[in-house]
This record gives sequence, C-alpha cells and structure tokens, in this order.
Amino acid sequence: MTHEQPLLAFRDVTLGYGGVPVLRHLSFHICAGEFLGIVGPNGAGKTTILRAILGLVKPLRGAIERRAAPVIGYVPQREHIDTIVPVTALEVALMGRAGRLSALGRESRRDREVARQALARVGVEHLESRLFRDLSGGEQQRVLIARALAAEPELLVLDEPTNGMDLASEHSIVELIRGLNREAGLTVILVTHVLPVVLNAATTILLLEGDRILTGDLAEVLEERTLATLYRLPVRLLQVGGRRTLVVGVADE
Amino acid sequence: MSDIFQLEFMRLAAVAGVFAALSLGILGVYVVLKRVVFVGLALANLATLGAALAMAADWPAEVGALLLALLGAATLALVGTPRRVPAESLVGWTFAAASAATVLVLAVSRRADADAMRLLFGNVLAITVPEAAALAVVALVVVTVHLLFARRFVLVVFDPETARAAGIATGAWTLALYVTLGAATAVSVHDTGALLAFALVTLPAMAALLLARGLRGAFLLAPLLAVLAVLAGLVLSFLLDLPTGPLTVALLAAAVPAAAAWRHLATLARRHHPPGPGGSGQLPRRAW
Repeated sequence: MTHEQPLLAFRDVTLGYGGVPVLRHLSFHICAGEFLGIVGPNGAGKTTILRAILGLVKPLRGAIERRAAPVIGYVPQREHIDTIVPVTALEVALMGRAGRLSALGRESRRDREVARQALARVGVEHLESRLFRDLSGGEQQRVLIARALAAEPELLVLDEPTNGMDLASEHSIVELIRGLNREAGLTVILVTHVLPVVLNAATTILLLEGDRILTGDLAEVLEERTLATLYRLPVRLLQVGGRRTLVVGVADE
Repeated sequence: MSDIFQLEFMRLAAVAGVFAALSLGILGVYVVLKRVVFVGLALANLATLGAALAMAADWPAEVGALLLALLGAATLALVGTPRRVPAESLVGWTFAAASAATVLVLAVSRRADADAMRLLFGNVLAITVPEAAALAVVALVVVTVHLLFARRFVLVVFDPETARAAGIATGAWTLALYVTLGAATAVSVHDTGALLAFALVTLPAMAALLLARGLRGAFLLAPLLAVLAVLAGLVLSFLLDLPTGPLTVALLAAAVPAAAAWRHLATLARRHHPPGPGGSGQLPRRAW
C-alpha cells in the first residue's frame, strides 16, 4: 500500500447492529487511485462494511477516518432496485446528481450533460431513452455505474456488481470497472463473494472468512498457503495468459 | 348537459371531485409503484373512524378524519418491518380494526342516521361550500408538494438505499409521502366515502401505468383519468339516476382492463409493423 494520506481508513473498528458486534478489530485503508476488493461469503459482513463506508452504519468501537468527506458514487446490487418504476436510462443517470442538488433544485443543462457523459463513458449512451426495466442485466449494471459516475465521485463503491451475470457480461463489467480505475484514476471499492472477480483487477484486498480477516496488497494476500489456510482447502494460484486464476480443491502435485 | 352544472350541488360535487381526483390520482402512482395500495384503503377507513369519533364528540368530522388519518399515515411510514409477520399485515390490521371501530362508535353514539350513512358510504352530492373549499385547499397543498419535490419522491421509491447513501433523508421523505396521502385521503373520504377515495388512489394510477410509456406520462395521465371519471360519473349518475360514487368507481374499474387491452393491442401492432431505420422503435439489445 502507498504511504500517502488515505482517502478512507478503518482504525480497529467494531461494527454491528443494536449494540451486537458483527465484525471486530477491522483495520484497513484505501488511498486515492487504489482498487480495493472486499471478498467474503454471504453473511460474512461485507454489506456491513460497505454500509459503514457509506456512513449508514456507525462503528460501535474504533474510528472511520475520511479525508475531507470524499464524494462517493454508490452502485447497489441490481436486485435492490425496483424495476417496476418506469424510468429511462437517462433519468436513472440523472439521479446521480441528486446529492449535489437541494431538495427544491432542478437539474440544469450541465447536470443533463454530465449524466449523458456518464452514460457514454460506460458505453450505453444509445440507450438513454430506453426504460431501465427493459434493459439486459449487463446494460442495467452499466446504467447504475453511469449514475454513480454522474455524481462525479472520488470513490466508486460497488456492491456485487456481477451478481447473476453470465461469463461474458461479468468479464465486460469487471473490465469496465478496471478501466475506470487504471485509466481514469478513479478509486474503487468492490464488494463480491467471488474472489476471481477481483483477482486481476484489485490492487489491495480484504478477505473475510468466518471470524478471520486478511487484508493487504493483492500480491501479499494472494499466496497459495495463505488462501489454503483461510479457506481450509487446497488452493492453487495459476497464471494463464498473463492473468491470475484460482483452482480450488486440487492439491499441489 | 350544461344544465346539469347549473345546479349548485352538482357544481360543488364537481369541484370537490376534481380536486380529490387530482391529488389522489398523483399520489396513486407512488402508492401503486410502492406496492402499498392497501395503505390507501387503511387510511380511508382510519379517516372514517376519525370522522365518526369527531361526530360522537360533536366536533367537526373533517378534523377527526384528518387527525386520525395523519396519525395512521405517520405510524405506517415510521414503523419498521416486523420480524415475524409481513409489514402489510399491519395494514390489514389497521383496516379491520378501523372498520369495526367505526361501526361500534356509531352504534354507541346512536348516530346511525343519515350523517352516519354519509360517513360510511359518502355522498358527493351533499357537499357544502366549506367542505369543498377545505378539500380544494388540502388537495392544492398536496399537489404543490408533489410537483416541487417529485424528483426526491421518485428517487426514494426507486432506490432508497442509494438515496440514503447520497445523504437524502429517506425516512423523512417516506413520512412526507404517507402524510400527504393521509391528508388527501382524509378530506376526500369525508366527501366521497372510503370506497371512492380508495378507488381514486388505486385505479387511475393502474390504468395510467398501463397506458403511459414512462413515469412522467403516468403522473400526467393518472390525475387526468381520475378527473374524467369523476366528471363522467357525475353526469351519468344524474342522467341515469344511479348512485354517483359506485358509478364513478365502476367507470374507473372499467378503465383498467380497457388500458390493459389497449397496451396489448399496441404491443401487437408494434410487432406487426416495426418502425423502419431511424424510427423510434427500441434498439436491439446488446449482448455483453
């Protein structure tokens, strides 16, 4: 990890609901330009961490330090969106400007321009007048990323963005997010229960497994022995075509 | 037909009906999209109970209706989802308890007279000038609030989690939605009866969502359909000598399958005559 002042830092944080801890002694940070993958099975506390990052859950103990309240672009799980509401892709992208407008504020020409640019940035500008509910899963995900980008964020936070997608859509979305991080310099936090999703995209990682938490640079954490200890399974880390891939359950020959 | 509106009671009924239709028609779009149509019914019955309690205590019925509907709206908006039973069961409880309590209050207070019948079933033709004025004022406030803050309400209905993450107080906006629904329902119930108020919240929004392509269209079409049904109901009930409220509800109910049939035919027509290049048809889905 770099030594500049972090954009966001968890210092020995305990998180929970109604005074009951869910996660204890959580310490990690993310600096500008990094890509943090938060990986763990369902029920491990990923969403709780995400809600704490968004400021929706206060720590029971410890401190969450933010560098001058960074603007966060949030991409929720698609399943949480009620697609019965007949809004167009452009109207969804415009919702990203809501945090910058007062309750009485009307979107300006610039707001519409920013929303259109965000749609173009993720390759769905041609869908702006289509209803969100009529789009494919991959298209909907791109529109939701465009909405987050329309907020002109310093930090992009994505919750399970590849859930329920086929292989091609998953690859396309991960490459899009990777591009936003590597080429546009956007800081990214991606929450997923599938480690391979962030294997070739993240720069740092936070692995949750039971009551164990591993965090650090991807290269440090992604070590066969470490992963085998964490998951209590033989894990092989291979390089195929210059990309990392995992094989689980096969012991070293 | 112009003779019909020469009569003062018909003019008052038309004014009250139009304002009730405008406010409830707009609110209905949120109610239908949020899947809380029975909240409208529960609030209508709470307003009736409030009016019955007020009448028993010799208070103005509108005051009781408004107070109890607002209290119910705030409670339903603020109460969390129970762990052991679905949230909508609370709406069912409210409906059952309010309906039974209304009849009991009327029985105990020995008000089972014409006032009580009007309270239970409404009579849009018996509206007085102050009642119509009160309904118009509340409806105008509700419509203004929803015109000014439409974007906030839509965001909170579409994706409350992201709205919260953007620093928007979703609880307060949900409360505002329910309170405006409670107020509009309460003043309408006293004049139109619970059945017509409930129908005005639910049916025009259903038809509008079936007919309109987008949300903007649905917000324009729902109050328009509601107003047309109210006016048609008044005229037809006068000409056919039928009760106004049930006839208006029947017209609104008929509008829903008619809208569904129109939607179906429009879809079929698009399939058989797809727009050519440069047309406004849907673009092919992109395979990722």
